[in-house]
Amino acid sequence: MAEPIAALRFCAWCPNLCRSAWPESGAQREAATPSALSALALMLAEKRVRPDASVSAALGDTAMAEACRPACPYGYDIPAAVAAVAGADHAG
Amino acid sequence: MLPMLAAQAAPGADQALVSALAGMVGAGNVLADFPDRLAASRDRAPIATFAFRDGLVPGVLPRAVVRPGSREEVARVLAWANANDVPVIPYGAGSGVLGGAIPLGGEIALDLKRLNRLVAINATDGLATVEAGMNGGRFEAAVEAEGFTCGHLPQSLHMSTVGGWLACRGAGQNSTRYGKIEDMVVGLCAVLADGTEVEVRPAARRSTGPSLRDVFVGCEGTLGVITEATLRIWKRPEAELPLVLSFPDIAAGLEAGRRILQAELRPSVFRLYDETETVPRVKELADFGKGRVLAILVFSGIERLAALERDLAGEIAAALGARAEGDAPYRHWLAHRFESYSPPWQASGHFMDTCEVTGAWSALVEMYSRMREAILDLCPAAHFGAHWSHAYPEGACQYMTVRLPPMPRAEGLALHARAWDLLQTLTVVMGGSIAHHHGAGLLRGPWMAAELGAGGAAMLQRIKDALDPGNILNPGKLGLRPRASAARVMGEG
Repeated sequence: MAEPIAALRFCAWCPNLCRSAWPESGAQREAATPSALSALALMLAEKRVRPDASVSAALGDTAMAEACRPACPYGYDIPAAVAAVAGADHAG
Repeated sequence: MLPMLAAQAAPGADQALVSALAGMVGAGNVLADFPDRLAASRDRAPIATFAFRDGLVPGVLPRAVVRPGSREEVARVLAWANANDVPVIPYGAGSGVLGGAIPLGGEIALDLKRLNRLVAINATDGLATVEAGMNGGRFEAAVEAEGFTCGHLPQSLHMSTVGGWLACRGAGQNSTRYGKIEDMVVGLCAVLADGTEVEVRPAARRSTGPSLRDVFVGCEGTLGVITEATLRIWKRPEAELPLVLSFPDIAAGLEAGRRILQAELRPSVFRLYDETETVPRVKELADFGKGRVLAILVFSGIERLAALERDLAGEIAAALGARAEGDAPYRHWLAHRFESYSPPWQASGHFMDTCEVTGAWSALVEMYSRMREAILDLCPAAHFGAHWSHAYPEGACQYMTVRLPPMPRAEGLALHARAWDLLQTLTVVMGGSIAHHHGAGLLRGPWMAAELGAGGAAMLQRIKDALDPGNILNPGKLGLRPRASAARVMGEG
């Protein structure tokens, strides 16, 4: 899990440099931006937020992160990192 | 500041509010779940990052995120919010770095990104009309496709909205030739707190009393919400010619900048780096003299004219000890000009921030020395680097990076706050402006009275009170009066 966490920790504090890769025809939902997703996933992994239904739904909406992935100047695969955290067992 | 777990456990948005807003913008455009509210609880202010990385909400969560799809819907939402005493924060892409979008108590976030159309390009008059929520990078790409550039190319180009450029009175990296955003805005549409729509019709200039445009440009959503702008655009330059120089010291570089600007030459880019910022940029230049400082200038436009300007600037610089260098630093800057340097430092626990101020040519050398000394006295282990860009006949922007090493949160926040106080106070003492292009937001509130003077600050508050008597528009920003329930964001460990 160390590699996905490192990617999320970088992306969470990045100001979404990749944002313009998302077409204007799709209204941007701020929570679906790569950086917001990364911050949420990171907080979940660090047990700073609870894994409730809204968190699970948000982490499952990676369409924008997918669209932005090729535009990441740092080469991170954020959808994969988010999926790794979202799929982990957060009980306890 | 509230732990995220506690914010998540707190009751969510009340259904009456959600229903009322849904009636105006559609149910799918009122987002009241925790992840949506959390995402809109921060912008890119480092103080927000410092909170987030410790699992804290910087201020409070907004009650909901509302996404209007038209100017009329913005007006409807504001009229309703005003009537129901619900404060509102306009939210673009959240790229501001001064906390201007951080909710402080009871706000809804008015996310403007559905207003994302390029309305029209008028090629004859050189104008583009664009909705406020359009992404900056996509706007520039759209005008480039028609043979133009908007000329406003900030580092945040791809992560900001056009409305955000206006709201914080921004400046792009090519501002020395094309001007700052206020030089480009020819007309705009905005909505006041009570839902009244205001249109400043596009006109090259007018002489009809104080500029209403300037009530909104730079107001950061405190006086109205900008929904559309008509911007001056420019033919894409035939040539962009770099001039990479080294100077014996920053005093020589700044003097060259003064002489170049006062000779009425107009580089599109003027960047002079101190020694700290020079070193990583000249690694590939084996014979770059130790201790010398780097300058990157670019001259744009008609090739013959740009070449002449470049050569004249080169002559001015040479008389001050400048040496022509290879183009590698220019090419590196060009390749990375829209990236951010902060994520790896924030991810590793540093307390990193930037502070851009305006200084007069006559003050800049001393301003730099005193600020550098003050920061390193405060924290000898700090990184302090600076460059000068956005040059004018009268002075330039001094853009500083301060990076404190990882340390306990309370200690880091205290040093961070002290560093800001030193930089802002020294700026005022030395006759400069506390903010060149990032705006004032929340963080700069404490120094706004010193910036504007007591009379000026009182006047701004009176304007605010007249336009927004209920104090619903982005309350507590620009040093203006907060609402009684406002959360504290700064000065807490």
